[in-house]
Amino acid sequence: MAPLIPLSNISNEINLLIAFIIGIGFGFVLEQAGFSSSRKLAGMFYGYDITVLKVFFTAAITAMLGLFLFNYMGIIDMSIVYVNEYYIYSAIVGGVIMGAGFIIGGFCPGTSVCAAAIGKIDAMWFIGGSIIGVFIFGETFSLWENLYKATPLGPVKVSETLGLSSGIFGLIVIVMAVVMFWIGERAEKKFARQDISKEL
Amino acid sequence: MSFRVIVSIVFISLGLIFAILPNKNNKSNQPDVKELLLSVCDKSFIINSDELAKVLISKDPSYQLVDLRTEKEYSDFHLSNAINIPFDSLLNDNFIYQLDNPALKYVFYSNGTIVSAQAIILIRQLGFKNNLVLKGGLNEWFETIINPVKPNITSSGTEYNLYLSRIAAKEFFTGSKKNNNIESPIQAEYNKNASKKKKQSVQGGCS
Repeated sequence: MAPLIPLSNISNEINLLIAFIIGIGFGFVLEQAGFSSSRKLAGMFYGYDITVLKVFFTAAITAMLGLFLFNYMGIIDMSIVYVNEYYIYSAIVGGVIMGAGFIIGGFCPGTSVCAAAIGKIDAMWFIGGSIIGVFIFGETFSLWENLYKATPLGPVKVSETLGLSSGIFGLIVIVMAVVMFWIGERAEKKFARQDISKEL
Repeated sequence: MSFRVIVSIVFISLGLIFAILPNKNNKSNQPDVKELLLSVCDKSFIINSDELAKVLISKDPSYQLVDLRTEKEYSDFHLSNAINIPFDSLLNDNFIYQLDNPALKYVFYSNGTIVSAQAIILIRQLGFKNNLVLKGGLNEWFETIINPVKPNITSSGTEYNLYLSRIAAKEFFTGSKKNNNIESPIQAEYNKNASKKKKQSVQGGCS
């Protein structure tokens, strides 16, 4: 729970227990939003169902606003929060692979576990496939090592690169989210598919 | 208004509020002022000339001397292996990185104690630890190690031993053996009186 609760204040086991409870909450949210249905997930790609965009973007801007608030109240120090390092080339290649897998299988790794938990057989095959992929990647890592570590840029934030303050960049993201939701709803009407049922 | 319009308005207004608020820098890795006061009051950050002489003679590699005077004063004289960081450019980027090694103990010195004490408070505020101040600076260094004062006849054995160790340090640093008065005060008194004891011819008695 660091840096919200420093690691020295609670024991490792309580940390893991809190992580477990948060994980249960995440699974609950995914399931009640309907993400265990591969029809809803593939709908994002084909345009007839934009639930994925709405749920994840709303979660992102809620978390962003919460972090601003905590930083302002002094509960969290945003300057020591870890930002992942950015490897451009490898991120693009990884994104392409992930997108291809998503549209072929109809799940992404998190939602596949969620769907397998309610008994969907195709989600279980999806998990098996991802485990085989991880194994193959691990065994052939020396072939991919240069690609994996190409073009590191370090932990960059978009607001720093553009020279904006984080508050203004947050506002831009929120406005962008609202605009994208509006465009998405127009697209939903345009690409509607009556033959694909809306039930989960 | 529909639900989604209300939610969008709420998010955008929250975003506007946070865009207008000034940036807040929570420097959570800087020491608290109270902690700083405590660490200064316990005087553990002071090293005096005798201890520093021991460190330099034993060539202890875990100490690094930092000279805070100007470049001209540094080039006239500096203690061996000291790096020069003039006090007014202490916080410049190219100097501050030299203080970054957590394995070394940095000993700040200047002509007196004031400048080095000020430097150590500034450095500790930035979060650096392992800093020491040479008590009395170079002035006291010269008075104790290079020109040690001989203790008078009523002083204790420990003070005399300290004087002897300072003489030895002086020989190490300056290589000179002249004017080294290493007789103990008691010995000096005895020699003074002993020279008075000349053989006197026996006077009186039966002649």
